[in-house]
Amino acid sequence: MAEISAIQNSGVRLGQADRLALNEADVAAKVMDGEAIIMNLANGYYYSLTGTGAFVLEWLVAGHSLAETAESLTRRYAVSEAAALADVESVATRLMDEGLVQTRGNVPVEAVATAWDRAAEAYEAPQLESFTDMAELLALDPPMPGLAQTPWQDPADDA
Amino acid sequence: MTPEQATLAPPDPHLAAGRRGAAQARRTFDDLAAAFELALGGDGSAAALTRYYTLAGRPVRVRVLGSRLAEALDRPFRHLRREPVDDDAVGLFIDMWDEAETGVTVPGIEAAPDLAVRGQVTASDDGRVLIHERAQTVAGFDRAQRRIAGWVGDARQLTLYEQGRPLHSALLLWHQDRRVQPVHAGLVSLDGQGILLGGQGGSGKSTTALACLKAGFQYQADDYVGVERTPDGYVGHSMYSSTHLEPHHLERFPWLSPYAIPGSLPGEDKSLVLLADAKPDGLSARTSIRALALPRVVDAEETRVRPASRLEALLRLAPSTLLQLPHACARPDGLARLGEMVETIPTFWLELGRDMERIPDRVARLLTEVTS
Repeated sequence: MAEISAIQNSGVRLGQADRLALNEADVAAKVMDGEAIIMNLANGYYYSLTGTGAFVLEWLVAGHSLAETAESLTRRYAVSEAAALADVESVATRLMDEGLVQTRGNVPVEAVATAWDRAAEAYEAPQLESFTDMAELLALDPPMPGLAQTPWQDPADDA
Repeated sequence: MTPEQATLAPPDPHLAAGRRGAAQARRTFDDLAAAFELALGGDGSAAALTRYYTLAGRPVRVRVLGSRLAEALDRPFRHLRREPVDDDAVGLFIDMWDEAETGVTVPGIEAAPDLAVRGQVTASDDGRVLIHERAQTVAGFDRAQRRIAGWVGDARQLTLYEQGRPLHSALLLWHQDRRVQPVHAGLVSLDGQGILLGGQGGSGKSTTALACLKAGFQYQADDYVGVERTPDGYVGHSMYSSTHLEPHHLERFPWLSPYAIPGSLPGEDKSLVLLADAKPDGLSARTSIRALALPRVVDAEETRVRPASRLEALLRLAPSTLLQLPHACARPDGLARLGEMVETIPTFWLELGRDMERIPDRVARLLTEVTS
């Protein structure tokens, strides 16, 4: 694996041994057809993650380090180790900058949610596109996680 | 899980900003419930007008003190009326009274003209009680009791929002608690086969839904739908028969003009139309959902349909659903639920041409294509 030093962007420093977790208090993500939608329910921003972005996101939030995620990219796509690691670090930093993920300790790696067993398509660098058109509405009606997280359900509704 | 076993959520710092603090929410609900009982009188329900409706497939009992308020509360739900059921079969109890007609007051609760455009929502620390305040309405929702108790200052002065979408926040949360996902979408159907119309405001949801209603479709909604996953597929539940139209939008539907209620307050720039008045036989409570169409206006004469990717569909449906109604809808599993739906039903762009009269035909053909 190529050695690339830690990068810095907007105060976020990530090294290739860092591991990330989804900021689940505020963020929801869904991978679908090889792409992902990510929503920050706290500020109203939402994102599409294209190219190999969904693959990278799933490997990262499963507990793989940036380096391990880049290595997995090289196993599935025709991409050099250096290019893969640079792309992983770039998109991981964007995800950190946007508050969508946070660093975490060296926890056991979880299973990657998507099978990703199709033959790999041509390599495309991960791209994170942000949308802010809902943020103003959200600012007027801020979220209430106290309501969202309380499951007041009837036994009849559990049936 | 019984209500008593439910896991309590941690206090929410957002709620401290409410005009009624989180610590007061429970007391406010208790005050509202006690005042309603007081208004009933000592011998029970003699003065209350009691009606039953079906919301999200569940029976709902509504008791109202005050004839004007009873009429106002009935109009947006009239198409959902049902026969009475025993209390143990009721999924939600709603008790409301009109202070102007009954004279029953609650200390500290009064009209709030500054809440005419946007309401104020407060919840108790444990998330059990929600208090929603509007200009003429203060309603409390106890999620464990499945009961809404509410005060209305004067039913003659309800804002258009209060008339068109009464008890909105409480009802959205009640839907959530039943695992019925409120979705920002329209819904129309033919022969019990429905097409969900997703997208943000201005995308053409209302245009499509109202054009289809006029053409003989059944109408469930043009703005908010309760979507439920059942063993037989997805079902959409109607919530309100109301639609809110800007003046230029209303001009496109002259058949609705006689029923339009214009706004009279600052910020009320849309007219309210209660479709149960305009086309009472065109509304229905529920339908199966066979496809998701994403309307968008294009520069063309004809309305066209083409496949939309599932990610495109989720990008149009999820943000306006989960972010526009956050206090009730932004639960962590909301995106997963919507994602499951777009993975299950076919998704299309509905490119709306200039000739509005042809929209229903194209929607009908799409329904035929997905159900044949």
